[in-house]
Amino acid sequence: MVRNIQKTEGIVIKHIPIGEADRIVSLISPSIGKIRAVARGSRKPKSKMGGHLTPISHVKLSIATTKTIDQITEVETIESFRKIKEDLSLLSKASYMAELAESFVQEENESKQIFYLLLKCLNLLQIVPDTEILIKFFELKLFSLSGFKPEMIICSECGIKLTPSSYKFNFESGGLLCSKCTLEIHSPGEKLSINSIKLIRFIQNENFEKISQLNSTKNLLDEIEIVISKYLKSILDKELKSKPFLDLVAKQTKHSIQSKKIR
Amino acid sequence: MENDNTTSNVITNLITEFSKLPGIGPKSAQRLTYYMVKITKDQAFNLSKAIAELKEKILSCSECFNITEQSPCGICSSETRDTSIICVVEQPIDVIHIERTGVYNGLYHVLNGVISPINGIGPENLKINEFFQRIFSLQIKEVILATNPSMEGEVTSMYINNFLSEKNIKTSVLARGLPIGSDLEYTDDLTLVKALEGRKLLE
Repeated sequence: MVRNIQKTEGIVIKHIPIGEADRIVSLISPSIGKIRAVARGSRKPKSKMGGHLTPISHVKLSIATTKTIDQITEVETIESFRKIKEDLSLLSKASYMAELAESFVQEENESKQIFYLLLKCLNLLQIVPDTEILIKFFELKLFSLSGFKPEMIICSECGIKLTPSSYKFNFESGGLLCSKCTLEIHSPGEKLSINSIKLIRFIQNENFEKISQLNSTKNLLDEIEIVISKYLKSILDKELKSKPFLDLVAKQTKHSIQSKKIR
Repeated sequence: MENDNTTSNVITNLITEFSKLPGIGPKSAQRLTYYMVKITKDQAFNLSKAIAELKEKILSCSECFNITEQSPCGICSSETRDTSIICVVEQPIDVIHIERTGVYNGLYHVLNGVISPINGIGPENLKINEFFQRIFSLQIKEVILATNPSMEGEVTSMYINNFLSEKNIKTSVLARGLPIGSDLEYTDDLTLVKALEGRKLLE
């Protein structure tokens, strides 16, 4: 049987066991978007593929197209993100970013920008001290790349230019509302302070090198977090599965830092 | 599968039931069903009896959550076992594999799964809280984390370890490295790093 073999790179998102020793692996690739392919025998201890297909790994792979599900024939690790995998907090963040990216990528659809955004953020996650702002950077850039960029300059209902002030963020129209539209709309959304609005605009327009130099953004990030998670829910119409674990680990990390301080 | 008068309902029912089993597709289900037609009544009866008995007699141990016929299970109620050491595993089948080695004589705790953030499985879906309660009531001195060396297994180990590190309990994980009979050429970087880190002096 002549099979068409494609060579590509990808980031492993997740895998599920199937049959005696196989796995179905989900990946994001720059050239063909979301990939779902079976890795035969990858659960056997002596498998040549098993170790390379760990979630949150950047890999090079060959895929054979078959009549049913595609099959991974070869795989080799480019970057295994070892530091992420040895830290529970980083791992919970990486899982969240991977799941989020996967939700915005389609099968057989070129998704170079989202792929490289995820790759960049996973690399940054290993080195930057403030990973909270990195998550916000990732979310906001992802929105922009997939056509859901939050409107922060003009009113998302009537289009009037907004003067510096605090406004409500409307999840249906995906942007800020002017004070007139806020009064007219039944459920206008969540309030954002003037500084949070400025921070969102800054993250939308700048690269991470500049963003990481910002100081004391903790309170603003908490405010932005509420808006982003509600906005995300209204776009995807579902809760991300990795979110509760992300929140749980964040809570525990905060708790252990506090108890260390007390000691 | 549709009943088109050429296949009896009894056959179709059994095929449907077989194809619900893990790893059994519609073709294997058909093959098994037609094999069942050929076996003797006694064989068929023994099989159905064995399955029924399994559901009636097998239960989960109230201590370690391993599958057993009596609760607490043989290991938990044994007097010769070392009760100061406990091995945490993902599934009941892992207990069988560790027991087969014959080198471990402590207790077990079966989590019945692993934390998998991307599949929405958190610690609350597993027997982790029960484990934390158990180590205090048993006065455990050492915990061996024997989850699989997969990302999910590692997440679970790290989560448990984070809790234990505050409680002054010695915690270890199974060695990571090259499987016997494998090929260095095809080994991924992470495994090789772990194998180098965990290298052993030859005596």
